[in-house]
Amino acid sequence: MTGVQMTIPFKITKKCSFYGTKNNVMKEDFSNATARDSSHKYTPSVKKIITLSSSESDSDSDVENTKVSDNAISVKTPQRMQNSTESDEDHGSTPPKQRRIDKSFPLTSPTTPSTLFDKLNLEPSPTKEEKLAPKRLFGTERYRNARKALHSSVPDTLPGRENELQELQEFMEEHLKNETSGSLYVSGPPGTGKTACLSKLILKTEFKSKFKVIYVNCTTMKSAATIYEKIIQKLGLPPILTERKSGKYSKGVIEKYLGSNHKMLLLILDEIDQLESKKQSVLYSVFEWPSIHNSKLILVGIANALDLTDRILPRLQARCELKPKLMHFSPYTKQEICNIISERLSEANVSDLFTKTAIQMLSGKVAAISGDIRRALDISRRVIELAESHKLAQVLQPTNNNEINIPKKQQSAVDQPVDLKEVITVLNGIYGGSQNIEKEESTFPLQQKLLLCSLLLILNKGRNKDVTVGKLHEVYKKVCKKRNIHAVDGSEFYSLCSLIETRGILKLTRKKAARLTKINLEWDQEELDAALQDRNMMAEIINDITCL
Amino acid sequence: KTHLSTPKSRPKYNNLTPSLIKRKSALLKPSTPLQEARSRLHVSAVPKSLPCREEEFNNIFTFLRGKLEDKSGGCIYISGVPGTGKTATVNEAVRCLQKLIVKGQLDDFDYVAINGMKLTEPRQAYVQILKQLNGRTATWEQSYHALEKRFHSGTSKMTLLLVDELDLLCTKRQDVVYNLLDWPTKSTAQLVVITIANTMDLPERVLMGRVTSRLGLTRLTFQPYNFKQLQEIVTSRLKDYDGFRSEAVQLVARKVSAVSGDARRALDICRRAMEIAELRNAETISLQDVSEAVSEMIASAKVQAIKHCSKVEKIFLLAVSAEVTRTSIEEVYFKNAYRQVESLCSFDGIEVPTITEILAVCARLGSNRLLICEHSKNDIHQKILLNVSTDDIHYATQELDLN
Repeated sequence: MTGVQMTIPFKITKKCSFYGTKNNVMKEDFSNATARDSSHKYTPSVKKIITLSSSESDSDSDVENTKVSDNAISVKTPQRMQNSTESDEDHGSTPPKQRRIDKSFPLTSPTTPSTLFDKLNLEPSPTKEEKLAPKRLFGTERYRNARKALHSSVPDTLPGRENELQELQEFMEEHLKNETSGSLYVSGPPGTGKTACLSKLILKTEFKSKFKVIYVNCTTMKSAATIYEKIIQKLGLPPILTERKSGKYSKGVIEKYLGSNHKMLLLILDEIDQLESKKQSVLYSVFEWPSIHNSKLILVGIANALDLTDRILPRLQARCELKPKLMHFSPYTKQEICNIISERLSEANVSDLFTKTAIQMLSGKVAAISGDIRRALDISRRVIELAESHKLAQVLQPTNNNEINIPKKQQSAVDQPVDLKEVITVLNGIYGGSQNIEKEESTFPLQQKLLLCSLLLILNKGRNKDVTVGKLHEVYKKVCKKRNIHAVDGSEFYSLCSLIETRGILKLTRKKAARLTKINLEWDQEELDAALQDRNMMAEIINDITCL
Repeated sequence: KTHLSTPKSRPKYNNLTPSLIKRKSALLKPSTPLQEARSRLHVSAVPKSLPCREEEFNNIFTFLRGKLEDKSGGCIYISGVPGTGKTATVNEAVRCLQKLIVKGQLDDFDYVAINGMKLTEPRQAYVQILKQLNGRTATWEQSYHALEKRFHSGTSKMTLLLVDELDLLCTKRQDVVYNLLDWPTKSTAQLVVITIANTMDLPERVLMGRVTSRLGLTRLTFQPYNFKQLQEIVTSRLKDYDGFRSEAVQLVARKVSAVSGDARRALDICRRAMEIAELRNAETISLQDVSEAVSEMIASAKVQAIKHCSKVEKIFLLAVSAEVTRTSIEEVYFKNAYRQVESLCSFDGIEVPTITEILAVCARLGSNRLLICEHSKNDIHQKILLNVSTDDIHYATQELDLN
């Protein structure tokens, strides 16, 4: 069908070729325009939202202004006062206003169980709810609670990690009892709760009193050797003068401290693989500290790689007392993810937002791919956000006027739980890959399609499989000429390639000249075939050997 | 205490705002409707509302508003090819949120925007963030510690951080990206990070696993504009100016959407077409102006360059392309190319230039990048690569009359 259209002669002499093919595009675009319009129907325009909120503000502004601030606990224990003065601020221009401290950072300041509990302020105070009731659209409060419950910061409880916690605790207690040093290496893929477990452990009161806890995230270091200074600073030792700021000297200071009589020390180095240096001197010296005579140090290293200690620290194998105890955090299983999500939801009393099957589906998918709990929580949050926005859209759709809308909201008080359908749409959006292009196929520019088809043609039918931009451009020009389409020139063509690269379809290996840049196809060809849905023309091009 | 301002003492005062020299004469107002329309079409003139990006705007706006109301941290990754309105949409959303603050429907938040392109190195990001938060400049280490302190001890104020051109902050260690994305995961931080980049699969392609895990899955892709949307964008900017023929706008939109779908380019071509029309002293912009502007923008300069080469240069180019077809290898040795030059010249009965002359010709062509050649110290053993396609050479040298 397209072929027929293409041969229609036009009476315009100049650039007629280009019109001929553009007719083609127009056809697609019109069919698509209707689709776009339908999607427009339920998305309120920007202005609508704003007018709506302004109408609300008239009625509720006074309520809003007297909003209760979140229960701020301005505790100022003597110890904390000390802490704040201790911190060396060499630029010494702190904001003069007194800061309220509502939440204390778990690793540097004491937290009682009650403050911990406040951290997750899931239950909105009743007064607040009363105030917001007229303002909020129905159901947003519940969605909001669910969103809050599914946060991905450090939680209070760690279901699915009981064994690891137990093991860690036993390890610590044993060393506490015998007053010996030990080292431990914790590994596991991202999002399996390594840091969460250790943060939870060091909050325990029995450890807090007996240990001096130092937590260092190694990504914050400028280079590996600066870790010593950081540790000295955390130990509260006198800071080193500038002229002696060498790694060796500060290492000596720490070793002297470890050799002296000191309190039991728990040193946690997060993301320890960032400490890699020449000959791994830093990592070796750190792992040798526990073996210093009468040091009482427990060293915990955290990283993603399973075999980091064996791979880059082989010399540790030689001496048994240096070998760190290994501990692996395996990715979460389906059941564990399931439990975590349902537990979090039931804590916030919104367990009916998700159906059982939806949670099962979600956790199954995530467990199969990565077992990363951050992902699972992210996806569940995303599902709730989408459900909420759809709900808002439905509520706002019929009319812009708020007063008429309110009774309607009360009628639709049946809160639809999130079901399989929503979960699947989100999952496909995330793990779909090339399927996403099918939807957006209309917005895939024509020249880019032609470029990809020329590439497929070379890869399928050509003899030489390593394609450069220059070579592809020549084939592409022939393809365009055959179809009476205006072909872009070299420099433009190169920028087209890099535009396609941003979609992840190609990979360009840059060379000194644009024409010599190598092109590799990142997707497999079936995927690309499915993505380029313009079947007739594309199939024609892909089998057109004469253009080679 | 003396009050002399030596150069050294000056930067200590942070109350000096950098200013530019003012114009001596007042700026001219656009006199004709055409000029006024042209100023409206300028890329820098961001319109009140962005057409064709309502859905994305709603997505970003509801996401940010939800996070700000919940007082929880979060992160969103926005991707899309250049010129599809990513940064403009985000700025628009932030402006709307700031309006809500004025109305008293939202608690106050700090807004910080950094751009990876404007940083000399990734760690300067800390310096910029701190500078925008409280106006102090410090070294990056001090800034980092100050920020760490701020985000570890919960403040009551939310912070919104926009990181544009994220891919430029990715070094080998990726410590900056890690830190920027790790702060929102702290329950005390109350930080929302919006990251913008061009590549759709940047998290999977470049970032480490632990950074990707922190980046989360709230992602939004801006598709290239199709021709309808480009048309709408241009007409919305022209407002009530009717000098621009609708079919001319459509031609621009179709041309641009077929190649990249970049709104900036569409606006540039429209402005250029207006300039061309102005030179003709025409009131309306016709199809001819637009097609002229398009051909200027998407012109193939290389063919023109070959056409304007000297005779010997053209012969040499033909010789190189003949050698490429003979050996079917892209790289050609100079001596073989010279042999081809000899045969071409003897065909046409031209006196054969000496090797030195041809070497000079080769160097000239190399300097304007029609060829890619090595340093000429290797004399006849240097390798030569064509930087134009052989078709272009034949097309440009068709009219070459060698007699």
